[in-house]
Amino acid sequence: MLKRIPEIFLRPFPYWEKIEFFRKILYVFLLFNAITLLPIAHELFSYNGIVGSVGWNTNYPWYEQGSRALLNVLNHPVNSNHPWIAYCFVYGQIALLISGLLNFLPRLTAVLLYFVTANLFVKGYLMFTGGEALISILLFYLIFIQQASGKQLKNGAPQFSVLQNVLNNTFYWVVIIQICVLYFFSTLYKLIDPYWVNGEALMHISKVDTFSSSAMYVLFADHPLLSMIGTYAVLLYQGVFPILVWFKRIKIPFLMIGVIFHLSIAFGMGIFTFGVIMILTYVLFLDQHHIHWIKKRILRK
Amino acid sequence: MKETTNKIWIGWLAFLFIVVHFSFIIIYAFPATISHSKLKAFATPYVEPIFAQTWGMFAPCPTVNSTIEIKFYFENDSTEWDNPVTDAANRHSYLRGSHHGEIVLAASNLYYWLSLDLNMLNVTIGDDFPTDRMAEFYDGYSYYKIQNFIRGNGWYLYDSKVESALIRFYLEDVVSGEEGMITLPKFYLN
Repeated sequence: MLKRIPEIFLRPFPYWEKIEFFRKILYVFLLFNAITLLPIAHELFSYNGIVGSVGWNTNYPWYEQGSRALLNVLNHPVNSNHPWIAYCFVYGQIALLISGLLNFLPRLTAVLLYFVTANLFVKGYLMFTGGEALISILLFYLIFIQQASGKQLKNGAPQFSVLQNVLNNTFYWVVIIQICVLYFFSTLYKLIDPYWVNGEALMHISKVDTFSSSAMYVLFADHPLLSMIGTYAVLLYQGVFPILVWFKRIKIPFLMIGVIFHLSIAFGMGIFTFGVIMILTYVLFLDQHHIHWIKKRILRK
Repeated sequence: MKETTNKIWIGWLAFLFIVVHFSFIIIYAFPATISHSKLKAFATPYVEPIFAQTWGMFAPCPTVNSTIEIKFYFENDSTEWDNPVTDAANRHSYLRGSHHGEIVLAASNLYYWLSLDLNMLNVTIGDDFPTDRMAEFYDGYSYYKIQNFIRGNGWYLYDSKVESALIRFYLEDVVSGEEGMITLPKFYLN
């Protein structure tokens, strides 16, 4: 058992096709997201927009603020008289996503894309949800999962240097564990909230306009039993996700339930980005033949 | 042989990194009621800002319906009370995935930050705003966010510079059915 632990990180990275597919669909979704936000780019990202600035720490020079300064560039007062800086980030993100999709300078693109996207998401925090924070974290991890420099093994799989191979294996598991930790804490926080514990949460949420829709209102607002079933189903699904997602036999139906659950968050509750990004992360839990099956369907081969 | 041993150590280092990384994240993410504040303070410099994430996801359960209304004052003109997100909310109801959802969220999140300040000021639904505690309000979470929201909406909706504004929140507790309106002191934006 102990011998197997280092082996997990040293073996030839077996998930390259899966991670590349995930990266591509993540970039496509981010591109869609960036384009849909263009009509309110000024309101979201400029220093004097609706979101405004959260401020800049003037007590320390930027180089002593570490990563905080690095991700807070658009809140620096210099942006007040130079709105073009924010637009460089907005259009830079779109250009980098296209560059990433075309596999052009992938390492540099991954680093810059994280920098630009994380800054935009920090700047627009008032209009965002946990989905954007998760995207930033995933983009950061993906910086370290990189392709080989053209070399291939006999079976056609890419060949990585020892260090790159260890990084790929390590950050693949970091991404996977991050999703499981997210579900674990989401359940834990709900278990200390009285309305989730007594089964009324969905009934109350369905009456809050921002997080509801007419369908959700009709379903839950006046139906305590349905609300209780729905609330406990959410708790159960999130709570068992970090365990059940590893059982091959039930993984696909289990993830399908999750897709329905997150589609109802995206469309029923209107938290679109979060709902979609969670569905995209399910790709990481699929087996190789599932990825082939999806790719075939998408490419219609 | 030596090379194999070195490789094994690299594998163990990778494993150790994952253990340490998620130990910090887990310590940071535990709810304040369960976690120890000193432990959390220890993990925070590692986790923030790169790995910071909202973990609650609708916990605590949102139970207040809030509607914002603003009366804008420009240099030579003013508006009636107006909900700046009415149009976006209408479009968001049938056009999921468009930018209108973000505008609706901004108004909702703005109320979330204000609610933290109202809790701090012991203001409940139906109470008047305690104008004698403005200093605490200025130092709270929401004052500058509301100011930015007013200024930005002045440009977005009217293409004009806002001189000052009144803002009020119509609140409805969906659990108790309690309703009320809280009007904040006038905001001056110069």
